[in-house]
Amino acid sequence: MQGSKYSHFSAIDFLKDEGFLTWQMFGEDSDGAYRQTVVADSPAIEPALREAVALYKRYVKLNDYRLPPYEIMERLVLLQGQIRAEKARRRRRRVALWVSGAAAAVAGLIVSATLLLPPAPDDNPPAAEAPVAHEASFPESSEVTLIVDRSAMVLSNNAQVSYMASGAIAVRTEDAGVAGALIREPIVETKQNKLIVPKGRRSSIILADNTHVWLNSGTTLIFPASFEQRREIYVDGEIYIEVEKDPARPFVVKSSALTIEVLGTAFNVSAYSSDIEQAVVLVEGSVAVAAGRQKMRLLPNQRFSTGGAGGNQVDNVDVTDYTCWRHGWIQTNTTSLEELATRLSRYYDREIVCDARVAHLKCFGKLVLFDDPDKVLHTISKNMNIEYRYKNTKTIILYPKK
Amino acid sequence: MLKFTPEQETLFRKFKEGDDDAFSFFYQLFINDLYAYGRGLCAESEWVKDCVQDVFLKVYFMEKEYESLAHFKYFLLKSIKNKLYDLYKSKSFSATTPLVGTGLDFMLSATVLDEMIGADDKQIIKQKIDALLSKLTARQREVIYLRFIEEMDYAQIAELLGMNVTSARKLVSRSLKRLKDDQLPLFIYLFLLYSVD
Repeated sequence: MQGSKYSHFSAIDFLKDEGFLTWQMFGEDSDGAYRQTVVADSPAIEPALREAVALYKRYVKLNDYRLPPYEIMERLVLLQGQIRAEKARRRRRRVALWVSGAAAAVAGLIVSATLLLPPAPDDNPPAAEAPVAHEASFPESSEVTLIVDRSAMVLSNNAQVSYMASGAIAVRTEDAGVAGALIREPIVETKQNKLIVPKGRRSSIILADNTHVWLNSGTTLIFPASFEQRREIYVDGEIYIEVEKDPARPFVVKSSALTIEVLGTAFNVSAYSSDIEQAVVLVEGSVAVAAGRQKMRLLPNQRFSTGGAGGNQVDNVDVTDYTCWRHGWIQTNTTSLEELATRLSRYYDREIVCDARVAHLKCFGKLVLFDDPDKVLHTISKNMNIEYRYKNTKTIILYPKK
Repeated sequence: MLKFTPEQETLFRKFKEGDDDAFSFFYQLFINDLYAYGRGLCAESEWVKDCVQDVFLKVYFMEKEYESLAHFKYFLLKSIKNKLYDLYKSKSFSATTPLVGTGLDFMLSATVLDEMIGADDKQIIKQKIDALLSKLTARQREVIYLRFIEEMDYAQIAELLGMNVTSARKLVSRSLKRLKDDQLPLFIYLFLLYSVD
C-alpha cells in the first residue's frame, strides 16, 4: 500500500481533493466510482472519508448568500405594508360623479355665490340632513372653508382634508405637507359637516370611511363626520369620487336633482343646483341613478344627464373629458366654446362670456388649467382664431377676430 | 430529493386559501432560496432584494394554483429569474451600465464555514472548489446549483433553463465528465510518481 495515494489522507485532505469535491458536488447523480477507488486503494481510510463527507455536507456551501434574520423581518414588514396599500387601492373604486350645468351657460354665467340647498328630494328618508343646515350664519368666504359643528375653518387652496375613523380631522396643504396639518380632537356627535370650495378654488377630502372626494370650484359638500348605518353625502357642484367598497353600507350621493347609489365602483358627478343640467359620469363599476321618477343603472363610460332638450338622457362618453379637471387640465371633445367658457368661469371665478357669433364653435383637445387665466385664454384665442378682452376685472368677453 | 414537513404541508394548504400568516411563513422559508439563486445570476445585491420583494408581492395577489410545495418553490425561482432578466434588459440599455457578456451568467462560489477547519485549509478548499467550478460553463453551473443545492427535479430544471429533460440530464453528466477527465491525467501522474518510489 506504499504506492497508494489515499492511505495517509485525513478528512481535510479529502476536502482538498478534486476527485472528492467533484463526487460531493454531484451528489447522488455521481456514479460513486470515487468511493470505490478510494476504498479499494486503502480500506482503512474509510472513517476519514466518511468524516470528510460529513464535513462537506455541513460546512461547505455553494452560493451561500443569506439575509440576516433581522433584515428578513424588516423586509416582511415592508412587504405587508405594500400589500395593505395595494389592497386599499383595489378596494377603493373610483366613482366619479360629475354634476355640471352646461345648459345654464347662457343665463347663469353669474352664479349666485350663496348656495341655497334644496330639501332632499321625494320620499327617500332624508339621511342627508345637511341641506336643512344653512350656512347663512357664516359670512361667505372666498377661500375654501370647512364647517364643523358651528365653527368655520378657512383652508388654503388645494388643501386636503382627512377625516380619521376616530373622528379626528387633519388638513394637509399643498406646499406645507404635514407641517401645515391641523388636527382637531375627535368629535363625538355625527353632525353634518360642510366643505365649501368657492369659485377659483379646489380641494379634496378623505371621508371617515376612506372614500376620497375631489371638489371642483364652486362646490359645497355636506357629509357626516363619521358614517353609521348609511353612507350618504350631499353635493352642490362638481365632484370626482372614489368610493371605498363596503357591501354592507351602500354609498349614496345626492344633489338637488339626483340620487346616486353606488353599487361598488368609481365615478364623476356634476350637479350644480344653479345649472339646468346635472350629470353623472361613471368611470368604473356600477351606480344606480335616480332623477325624479326615473331610476336607472349606469355602465362605465356612460353619462346620465338631466334637463336636456329631450329630458333625461344617457350617452356614451370619454370619461377623461369629465374627470380630468382634478389633475389640472380640461379635455374637450365636442364641447361648445360656450360650455367651455362656463367651466372656465367657475374654475377661475371670472365671468367669461361668449359673443353669439363664437358661442357655437366646437372645441377639441386638451387645455392645461394654468394658475393664470390669461395664459389659458391666450391658448384658446390662438387655437380657435378668436379674441378676448376684459370688460372689467371680473368679466371677460370672447369674440370673433376682426 | 426536496422534502417538506407535514406542518409545512398544512401551512401550504392554508397559504393556498389566502391565509396571511401562512404567506408570511413561506416568505421567511423561501426568501433566502430566492435571494441566493438571484445572487448567482446577478451580483448587485440591492437589485436582487428588490426583485425578491416584487415576486412575493405579485404572488400574494395571484391565484395560487400550485400543485405542490416543490412546484411553488419552482415557481418562485422562475419568477425571480424572469424579474432579473427583465431588469437586466432594461438596465443594459441605459448609458451608464455597459453591456457585459450575455447577462445573467450564473456564478457559483464556495464558502467553508467550519471554525474547526484551519484558515489556511479553508482557503485551499475554497480555491479548489472555485477552480473546479470555473471549468464549467455558466449553464452547467446553474444546472448543478438547481439540481444539488435547490434539489429540483430535472423536469423543473429543464423548464427553468428552457430545454428538454434529456438535455438537462446530459448537461449534468457532461459537466461531471468534464471535471473528471481533467483530473485523470493528474491521477496517472501521481500514481507513476508513487510507483517510482
